[in-house]
Amino acid sequence: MSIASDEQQYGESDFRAWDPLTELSAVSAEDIRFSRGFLRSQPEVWFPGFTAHWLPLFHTFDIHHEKCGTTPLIDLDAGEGAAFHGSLDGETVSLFIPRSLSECITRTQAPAASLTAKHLMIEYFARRFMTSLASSWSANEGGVFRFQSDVSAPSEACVGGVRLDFRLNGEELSLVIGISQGLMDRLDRLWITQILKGIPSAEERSRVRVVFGSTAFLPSEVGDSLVPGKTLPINFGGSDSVVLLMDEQPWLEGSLFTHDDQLVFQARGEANEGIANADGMTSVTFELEEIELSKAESALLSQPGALHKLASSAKQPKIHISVAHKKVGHGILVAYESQLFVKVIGEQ
Amino acid sequence: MKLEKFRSLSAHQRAMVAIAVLLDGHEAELYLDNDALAGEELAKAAKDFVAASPEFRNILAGDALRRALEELQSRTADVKDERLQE
Repeated sequence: MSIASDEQQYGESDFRAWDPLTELSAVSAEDIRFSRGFLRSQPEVWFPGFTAHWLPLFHTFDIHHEKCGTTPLIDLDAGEGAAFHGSLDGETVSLFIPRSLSECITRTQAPAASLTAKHLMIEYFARRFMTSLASSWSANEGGVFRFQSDVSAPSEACVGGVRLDFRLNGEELSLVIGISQGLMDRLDRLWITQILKGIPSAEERSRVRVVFGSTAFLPSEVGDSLVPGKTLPINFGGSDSVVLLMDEQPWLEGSLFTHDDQLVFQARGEANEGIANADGMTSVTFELEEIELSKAESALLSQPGALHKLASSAKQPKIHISVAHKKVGHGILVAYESQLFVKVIGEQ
Repeated sequence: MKLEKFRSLSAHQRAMVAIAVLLDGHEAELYLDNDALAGEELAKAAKDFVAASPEFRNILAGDALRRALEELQSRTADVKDERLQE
């Protein structure tokens, strides 16, 4: 794409400043805080004997069960249903049973029972569930679980939890286990410890460039293109997607979000391709910033969904323009309809 | 078979013990002794039940559950009556 054709195609006044604060989704401080630990965890691996507690009952009542998944949550939306509470070493554990699951339990175990009997069945299910959860937790380290049999609210509110999705006799059901802050911190640390186990030289640091996109020019056009006031197309990238280059090699790809007035990177997976560099063309890259990460930080960030708060402001972020890894200018992001461009503001 | 401990429990607690014995037999204690208010009492009551033979234990637990439920339901009915009179 030549510069001349761009100027014919778009008038200067057609461009508008691209505002990440309105164009990108926001994440919360808790999203960032738990994005590399608790929210990435696979809670089922910490409860190895849990299913064994239920097999005799499933067998007795001829229930076919299938596990569909576990999802760590920091926004608890338990919906309508019954709630039961307990404590583990002083931390609150709650069980939220949606109406659909209550109906399934009473239908299979006591179909003709009175409402009182059905309530008692649900309570026993909750006791049984929470007890088997506490006793099968491999990292419990002798913690004592207590089921709160009175109906008073727990002393401490649940700030996060885990949703369990499963099928009983083909019926899709779920329940939510809520946990208070102390337990969530503990599970967060547990997952991080597991991820970092066996990483040699965890403190060794690498330079990582956060690349927003790139374009390519004929070598003869580069000088005329990088002039303040020019608007450059983004041929590769140019959306809310960014690529992280570690030691100049494609490492991770992900998306941009905002938190307060800052940009946040969310890992999606390994970067499949690097910056386009067509034969005979000069590649110009648009970078947000350069960060330094230890091996430990890199391992945690490489989990899909992990978040990293960038230093770049979400209010008109500065884009560094580089040619052959050398910064040659800077600009801002502008948009023409849904297409993003970099407007050159000055030299480096 | 001694059921004094069981009889000293509230109707709600007796119902819990009976359900636990019916569903989990010898493991009933495991699911009751962590009750924050009366774990020890509930577990002991369940232990007394499961000392009996399975057939006798289930008949007894079923009967105990029915009685506890009747008591709970009559209380609910009494509360409803009181509210209606108010």
